[in-house]
Amino acid sequence: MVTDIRKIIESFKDRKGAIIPALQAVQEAQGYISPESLVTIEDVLGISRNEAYGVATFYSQFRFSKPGEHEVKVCLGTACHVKGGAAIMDIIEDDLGVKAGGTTPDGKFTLERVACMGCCAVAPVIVVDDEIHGKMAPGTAKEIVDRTVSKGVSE
Amino acid sequence: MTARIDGKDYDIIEGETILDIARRNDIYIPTLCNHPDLSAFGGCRLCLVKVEGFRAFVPACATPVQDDMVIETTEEDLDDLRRRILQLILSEHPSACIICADREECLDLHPDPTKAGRVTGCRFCPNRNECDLFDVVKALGVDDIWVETEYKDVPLYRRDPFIHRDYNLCILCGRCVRVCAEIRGVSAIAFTERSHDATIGTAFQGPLVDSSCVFCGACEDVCPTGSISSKMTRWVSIPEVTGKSTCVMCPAGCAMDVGFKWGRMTITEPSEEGENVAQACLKGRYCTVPLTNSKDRLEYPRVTTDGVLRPVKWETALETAVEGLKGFAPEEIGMIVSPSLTVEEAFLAQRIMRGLGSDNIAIASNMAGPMQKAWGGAMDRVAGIGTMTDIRDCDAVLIVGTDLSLTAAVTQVHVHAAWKDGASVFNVKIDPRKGYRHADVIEPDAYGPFMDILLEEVKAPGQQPHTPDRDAAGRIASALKDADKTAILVGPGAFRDAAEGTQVAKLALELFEAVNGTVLLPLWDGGNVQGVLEAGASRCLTPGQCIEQDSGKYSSGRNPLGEGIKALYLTHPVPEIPEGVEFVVYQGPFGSQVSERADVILPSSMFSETEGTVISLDGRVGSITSDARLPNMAKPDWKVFIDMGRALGLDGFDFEAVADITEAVGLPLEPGTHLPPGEPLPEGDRAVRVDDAVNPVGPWPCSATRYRGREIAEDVEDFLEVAASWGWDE
Amino acid sequence: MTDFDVLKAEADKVWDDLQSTDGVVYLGTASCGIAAGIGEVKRETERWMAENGADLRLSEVGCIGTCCFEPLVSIQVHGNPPVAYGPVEGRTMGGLLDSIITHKRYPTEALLGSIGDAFGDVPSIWDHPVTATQKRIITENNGIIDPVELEHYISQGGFEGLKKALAMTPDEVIETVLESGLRGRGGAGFPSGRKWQMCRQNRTDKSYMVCNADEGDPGAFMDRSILEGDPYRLLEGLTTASYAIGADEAYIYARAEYPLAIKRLRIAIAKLEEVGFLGEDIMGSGFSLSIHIKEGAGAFVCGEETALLASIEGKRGMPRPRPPYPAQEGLWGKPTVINNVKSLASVPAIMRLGAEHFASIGSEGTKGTAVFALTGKVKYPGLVEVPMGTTIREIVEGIGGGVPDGGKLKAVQTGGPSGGCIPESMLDLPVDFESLQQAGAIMGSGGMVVMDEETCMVDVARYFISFTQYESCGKCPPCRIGTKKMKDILERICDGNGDPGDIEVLEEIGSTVRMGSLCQLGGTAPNPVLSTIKYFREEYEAHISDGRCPAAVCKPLVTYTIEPDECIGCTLCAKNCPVSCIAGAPKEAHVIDQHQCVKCGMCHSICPKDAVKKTSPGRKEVVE
Repeated sequence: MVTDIRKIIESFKDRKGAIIPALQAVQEAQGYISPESLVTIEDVLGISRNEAYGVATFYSQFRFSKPGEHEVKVCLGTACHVKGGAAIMDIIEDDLGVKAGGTTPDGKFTLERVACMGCCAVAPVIVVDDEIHGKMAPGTAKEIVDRTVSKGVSE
Repeated sequence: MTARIDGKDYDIIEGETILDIARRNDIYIPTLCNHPDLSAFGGCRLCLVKVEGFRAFVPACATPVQDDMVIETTEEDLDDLRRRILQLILSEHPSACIICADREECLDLHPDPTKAGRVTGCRFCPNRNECDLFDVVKALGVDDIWVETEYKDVPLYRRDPFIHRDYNLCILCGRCVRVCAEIRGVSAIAFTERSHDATIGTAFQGPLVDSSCVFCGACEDVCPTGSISSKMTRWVSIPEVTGKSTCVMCPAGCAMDVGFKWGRMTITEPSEEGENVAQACLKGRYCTVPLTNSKDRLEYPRVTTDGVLRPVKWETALETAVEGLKGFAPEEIGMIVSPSLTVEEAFLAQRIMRGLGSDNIAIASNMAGPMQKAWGGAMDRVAGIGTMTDIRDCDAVLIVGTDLSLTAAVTQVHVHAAWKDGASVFNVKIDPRKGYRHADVIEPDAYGPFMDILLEEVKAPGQQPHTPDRDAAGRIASALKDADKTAILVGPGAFRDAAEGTQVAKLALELFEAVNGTVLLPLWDGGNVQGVLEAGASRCLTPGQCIEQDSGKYSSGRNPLGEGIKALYLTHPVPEIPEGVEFVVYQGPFGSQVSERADVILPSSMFSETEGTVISLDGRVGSITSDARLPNMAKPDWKVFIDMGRALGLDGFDFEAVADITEAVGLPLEPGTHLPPGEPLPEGDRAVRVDDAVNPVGPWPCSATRYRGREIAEDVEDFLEVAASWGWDE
Repeated sequence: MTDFDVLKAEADKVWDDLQSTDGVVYLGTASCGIAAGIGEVKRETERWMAENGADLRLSEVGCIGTCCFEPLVSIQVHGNPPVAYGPVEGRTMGGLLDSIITHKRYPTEALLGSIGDAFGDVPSIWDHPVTATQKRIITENNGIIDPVELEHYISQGGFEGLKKALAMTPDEVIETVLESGLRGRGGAGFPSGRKWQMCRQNRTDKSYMVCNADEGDPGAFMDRSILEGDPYRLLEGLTTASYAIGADEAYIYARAEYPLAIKRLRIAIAKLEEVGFLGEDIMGSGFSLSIHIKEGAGAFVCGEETALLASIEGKRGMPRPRPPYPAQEGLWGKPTVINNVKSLASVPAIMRLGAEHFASIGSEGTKGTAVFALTGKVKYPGLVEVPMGTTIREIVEGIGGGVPDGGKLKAVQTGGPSGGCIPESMLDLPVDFESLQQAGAIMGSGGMVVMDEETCMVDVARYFISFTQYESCGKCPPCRIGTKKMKDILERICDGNGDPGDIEVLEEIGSTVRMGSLCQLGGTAPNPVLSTIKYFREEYEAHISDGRCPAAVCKPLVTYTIEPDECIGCTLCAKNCPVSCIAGAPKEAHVIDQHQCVKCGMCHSICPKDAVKKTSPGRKEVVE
């Protein structure tokens, strides 16, 4: 796995401003940014690991611990907020037993808040494992999450 | 071109910002994130000024001045805004003392900070006497905070070696990040996180030893608050006496400000002025004081009686030494000269030996002998060419035999300046330590053969079959040839073996000439090797590096640790006393495994306690001053040598003050000036002017982690942690 | 390299073929359509095709703008223009296909209209109140063409503008754009032609063109729609701009939250390189351009141009002071122009139809059209393109259909987190840069959120300042510390712990943040707070002095009670209450235990009889 990460990072050598795409590629491959990957970035791209960490922690996209198997994102953009997005977040937090930004103890679900998916006309919106669902209400949102939970249990 | 500021016209220098022109003309504009040596950040928003034609206020530090610009640095709205911004900053900093009306009186009554686990006000802050934040508060007349205050309550970083970080005091000016990246080329700390959680830190908030920090303390110097302080000096009081001196922990010869209280050295910091551009390294900054104040200093003269070293009076010790030495023929006496002695001290040392009729003198340095052999025959003097500052203008830099982490560490600052301007930097080294991050690192199997290949590739490129070493050499060769100006630095790692060292030194000079180089510098393994050479304290050399080969008087010297030597005068510890040596005089500040075997011990000084002159690796003359009292009965080396000289009945020891000795040395030793560079001789005049007997007596143990033979880690605990993490375990 | 005229002829043929094909189903497949469930509809269509042995062509198009009617499909058959229906669900699609294709009957249920002229009983979609007053220039192709089919775009006049531009000198192109009066559509409204001119004047050896597609304003999706629905339009505009300023490298900075947009852009770029409309020697003109896509990584501040440049350079997105401006010193120190998607998407039409044509639309100070994302409490949310100078009321009530379900319009928020709230009384303001600014709002990038009586304006202020505070880069104290202080105060107020004097403190801090911040994130962050204080001060005062939230939104101040006369005892609420605090036997009135209630609102949303009442009684009354 480590050699794979190294190969991935090497493909960004000699590219200007490559640190962000390199971090994105690392996260794509292993799900998060690990301390080892920053050491490799320092070795290969010559960017100090501290600077690289500084860049990674600036952007919301990057995670620093292994994410859950499933990812649930609740949009809290303006339109979604005005149409009751906060209540949906509350319900799902309660349902999964984890606060936004965290992962359930069994490692199955990560819950995130997103600023805006751009699907404001069908607000409120949630995303479950890259599937976007619009026109949500606390009840229907909970249903979709529960479905994913039970799918996981039976798998 | 002119600009109008507050109603007056001023001339503009091209490329200036509003802040530059204001500073030049003594117009005050408050700043916190700005620092004259660093790039403009434009973050603190205190330097806002009003410029005609701009809708909003602009930051003076980042706005270029234009012809006919009309600027107001003060105005009701603007001043009010500045105060409010400052109050926002203060609202998240423990500010109770900063805005207290009694602050001045309080600090007068309590000049030294009160020790506390956590800084909750100036009373407890190590920065209280030099706080940039307070200076701005005072200048803007802020005496209240109009928003809710909040103590950040973030963890303290107390467990790193040397450096203490308290980000509850941090105002996020970013100076530390910038100095580490722009001046030192390290980037051990960076801005992390975002928004209100933004803070300065390392990757994953790991320890500084893992972040490539070199513990140079540059961050501490530029920090406007007490956020970064050194563990050693946090509670140290304001010095009684301050002075300017030179550091001798390595041959870079950094100009230092030194502080003393009650006769003890309390602090060493880089001076504002000096070729070390206000930078130092962890040895000079953090290790000098603990070493000087070590509990293990030699304090009394001792003489061995009945197998035990007993404390005696100075007269007794000197008498015993004289009697012992006089019992041997001159050719049976040898001296080891410490490269940490001053020029004056080394001069006296060689005068003693030559007075006795012996030329069996060697410097405790792996580099001195091979360099004398290689350069002594090809140049008029064993001396470098060019200065450390000249490195900054070079387009290609080649470093051989070291990684600059603990050897002349400040040189990296100049190398980094060159790199930022587009220079290629190559580091040929065999040790596994990481060193300068931006260098192209080449790890050959051996130095000598590699330098051979490199010279071949410069003179006749691409003729030989490919090997990894040859390809690397080819890369270096083309960069060196393409460059307008080249710097070649040679360090101790290539001199572990004498013969190889001589070869490397010879090839380095030839390479320098082949590429029309600008800088050629030896990164000596000793703080004053250059000075000791100039003082002539080595076989075949006399003061001024003269070699009197023909007379035979000074070329008859032999290896002081070799055959036929029966008496040794040590001013530096040796790994072991050779068999056959019957009498040992040991002079120095610290004991060692061999001092136990000495017949006479003469306790002497560290560089931080003596007076005199030292010469850096690029020929710069530095002066040493001190207000420290030596421990108990120890004396400065120069006084010991005078006493010895007189006791031995030799001529030429009628000195009362160091200045008299300096005069007697007869060299142009004006502090701040440079000695002439080494001058390569024409091809036809080159010869081996020094025979093999000059070859070194080593190998001496690694000098990067030692001072005058003493392991620095024995007196500075943190040093061991740092050195070990860097792989310095020799 | 393909000759333009040859390509145009081919494109026209492809388009004509498509129009005359009998049996095409266009599926609205933009992110909003996907979110609404177009996937289900597509699957159902495929099932229907298999079942009925029908050979239909499926075309995935962008969003035509009427997102309120998604999932949206158009069916083209029997020699008629495509007829749009929406919202269509998977389970109703089969029936719709039966009707139209098999029985040649166009049902009226969910009928939007023909994408073309009216015929028979089918009206034209362009007469629908939602589209009738719009003027589609930038969005004219959205929902009509297949976004990744280059032939479709060319057949609709695409790349004629670039062809004209390449035949002029770069200075002539700049002159044209200057004459058109195009002002930046990212929010600042700086004349685009002047920015290009500055850059060209400063250019020595290199300049860069950058498209800001980091549409971070929550509530805005105009750029997304263009990128997903008509990417070639943006690329044509970007190429034209690059030519004008002498850049041979361009960057599109697209936020990572728009993966479909990025995917379509990549396909489009590859296609253009294939036919020689990108890369070396474009259209044989000698001009070369390569376009790089740089994905954002989740930072709203990277929509600020200097932060965006820092991000492309691989740094933290921390803005830097200006001057020097990017047109003087930008990407890697070289002169750079950064334009918004909508600005660049306006360029092809300007070049193709001429500067005068563009300048003839709009108002005196602001030429051309504006694209708004109309969302919130409005009947017909979606993308709207109108001439500058149209009033807000015309947009919200005329096009948007006003507040649904008998609600009462309270305010319209424009400009996202940098903008302000315009109260109902001021909705006759025309939409242009100057007018909105005078009202304390801004045009911004185009987000327009409609709020009704059930929206708490203090909560809106709290929401926006929390957003900007979270997205602040942290570099300068006014924004980093000031927005945090404002957020803390607003949270206290919304919790019912407001102090007298809080409003004044908010105004003071707001002023410091506004005047002292380094960039416009901080500079405009106080706007929502200050504008809601200006127009809705009484709501703030109710929260502070009475502990009452007039709109019954702020959770700690809201009480849920069940009206016993209206409750039918269905037990749905009790069963779904997360803290099981509702008591009651079946068929009997239920009661909520106020001490246990966590105010999640589940019962309120689930009650089939609306018997759960949401109120904010304030401190004066205590509800048992």
